Amino acid sequence: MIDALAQLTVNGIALGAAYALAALGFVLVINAVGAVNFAHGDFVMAGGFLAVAISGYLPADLELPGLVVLPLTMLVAAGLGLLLSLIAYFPLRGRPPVSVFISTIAVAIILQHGTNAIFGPAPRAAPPVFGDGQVDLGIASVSMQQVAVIVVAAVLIGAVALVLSRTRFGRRLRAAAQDPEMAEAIGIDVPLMIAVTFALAISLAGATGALLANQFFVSPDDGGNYMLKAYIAVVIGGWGRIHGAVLGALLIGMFEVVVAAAASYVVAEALLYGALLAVLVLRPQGLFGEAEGRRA
Amino acid sequence: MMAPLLSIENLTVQSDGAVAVDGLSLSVAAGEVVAVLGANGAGKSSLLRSIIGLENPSAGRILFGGRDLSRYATHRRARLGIGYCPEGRRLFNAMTIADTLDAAGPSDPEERIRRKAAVHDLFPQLVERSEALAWQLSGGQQQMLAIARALMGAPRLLLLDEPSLGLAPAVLGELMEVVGKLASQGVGVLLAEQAAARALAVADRVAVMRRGRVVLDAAADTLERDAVAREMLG
Repeated sequence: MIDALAQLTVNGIALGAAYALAALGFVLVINAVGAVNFAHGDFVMAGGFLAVAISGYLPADLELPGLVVLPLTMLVAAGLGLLLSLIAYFPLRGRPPVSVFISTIAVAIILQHGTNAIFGPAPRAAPPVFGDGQVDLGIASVSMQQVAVIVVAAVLIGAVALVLSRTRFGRRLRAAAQDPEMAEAIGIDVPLMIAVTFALAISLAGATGALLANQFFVSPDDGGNYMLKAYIAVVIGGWGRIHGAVLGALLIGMFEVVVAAAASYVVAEALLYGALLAVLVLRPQGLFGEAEGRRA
Repeated sequence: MMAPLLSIENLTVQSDGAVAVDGLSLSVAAGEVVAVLGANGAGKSSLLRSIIGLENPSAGRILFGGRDLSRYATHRRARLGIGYCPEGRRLFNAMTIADTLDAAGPSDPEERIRRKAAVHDLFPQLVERSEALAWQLSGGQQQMLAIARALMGAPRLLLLDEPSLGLAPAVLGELMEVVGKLASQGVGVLLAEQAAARALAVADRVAVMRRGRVVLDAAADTLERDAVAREMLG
C-alpha cells in the first residue's frame, strides 16, 4: 500500500512538474498583456514536434541526444514566441482582450494543422533527456525521464523565479506587467518587455513539450489538453499569481495520477473539471490567492 | 537669454472626445517651480500626461531641452530626463520599495546605487521600510515613493500631479520642502495642484488653468491667494 502510494506520488510530482512549466509560461503572458494566449497548449505540442524534428538532425551515435535537443527546442520556441507576439499581439495592442483571444485561437489552429501537415497524425516520441532506464528508490521506482522532467522543471522554474525577484530586468518585467503605462513613464520599454515575456513563455512551453513527448508521445491534437491544464492551474492558483499557477499545476498532476489509478483517467478528468467549477464558485480568487478586498 | 527647459507651444489635447487642453502655451526653466493651478477638470492632468507622452496632442508642440518630444515614445521621454508622478500615485503595489526603486533606476549598478542613496537622503523613511510592499505604506510614504521612483531616473524636469491629495498638512509640508530642494539643485518642476496655498508657497511662477486654457500666468510673489482662487473658479 505504502509502496503504491509512494509510486503514485512520484508519478504525480513528475506529471505536475511538467504541467507547472506549461502553467508558468501561460501565466507570464497573462500578467504581461492582460489577455489569455489560447495557443499556449499548442505551443507545448509544437515543442514536442520540434524536439522530434531536431533529434532527426543529430548524429545517430550521440549518447544523450535529449540533452542537446532540449535547449535547442527552447531556443527555437523562444523565436516562435517572438513571432507570436509580432503576429497575434502587437497588431491588436490597445484593443479589448477578446481580440487577442481570437488571434491566439487562430494561431492554435494554424499550429495544429501545420504540425499535422508536416508530421502526420500519428503519435511521435522525442528522445529522453537523461537516457532510458529506471532509478530504484526502494519504495518506488522512477524512470530517468521522470527524473529529467522534475529536475528540468525545478531548474527552469527556479531560474525564472530568481530572475523575476532578484534582477533589475525581472523587476522591470514585473513593473511592466502591473502597470504598463506607469512602467513606460519611468523609462521601461514595455513593448520590449512584452516581446521578451512571449519568448520566455513559449520557450517554457517548448521545454514542456520536449519533456512530455518522450513519456507520453505527441500528436497534433494534444494542444487543447495542455491548454486546459494550464488554464485550470491558473484558476486554482489564483488568476495571475505565478507561484499559485505552479502549485496549482502540481496539484493537478497529483490529482490526475491518484484518481486515474483509483478509478480511471476519464473519472480523473471529470472530477478535475468539477473541482475547477467548485473553485470558481466557492473561492474565485483561487486556492492560493488572497481575497480581493485585501489587495490595495 | 537661456532657452527654457520645457517649452509648450499652442498645445491642444483631446481627452475622451472633449478638449482638455486648448491652445496652451507655457514654459519651465531649469531650477524653476511652476505651479499649474486649476479646479477639477481644468485640464492639468491632461497637460502633464501629454508632456510625458501618455496622451497625444492634436495640435501644438512640446519642446524639452530644444527637442521636439513628438518624436519620442513615453519611455524615451523618461530617459531624456522627464520624471512623472501621477495623480493617485499609481505605485506598483505588489512590489517592495527597494524593488520599485531598482526597477526605475539606470542600468549601471553603481549609478543606480548613487541615485538610490540620493533618494534615501531626501526620504529617509523609505530606507526603514525598504522591504515593505507599496500598498502597505501610509499615504505620505506612498507619495514619497512615487516621487522617489520618478527621481531614480535623475530627471531634469519633474511633473507632479496633485501630490497633496489625501495628505496631512505636515506631510505635505515635508514634500514641498523636497520640491524646493530639487529646484535648488537645478531640477525644473511643473506642479499641478488644486491646493493653491501650498503651491504658492513653493512656486516661483503660477499658471492658472480654466477649461484647458491658461487664464493667468504670473510670478508667485506678485499674487495673493484669494485672487488666485477667484481665477481658478472663474
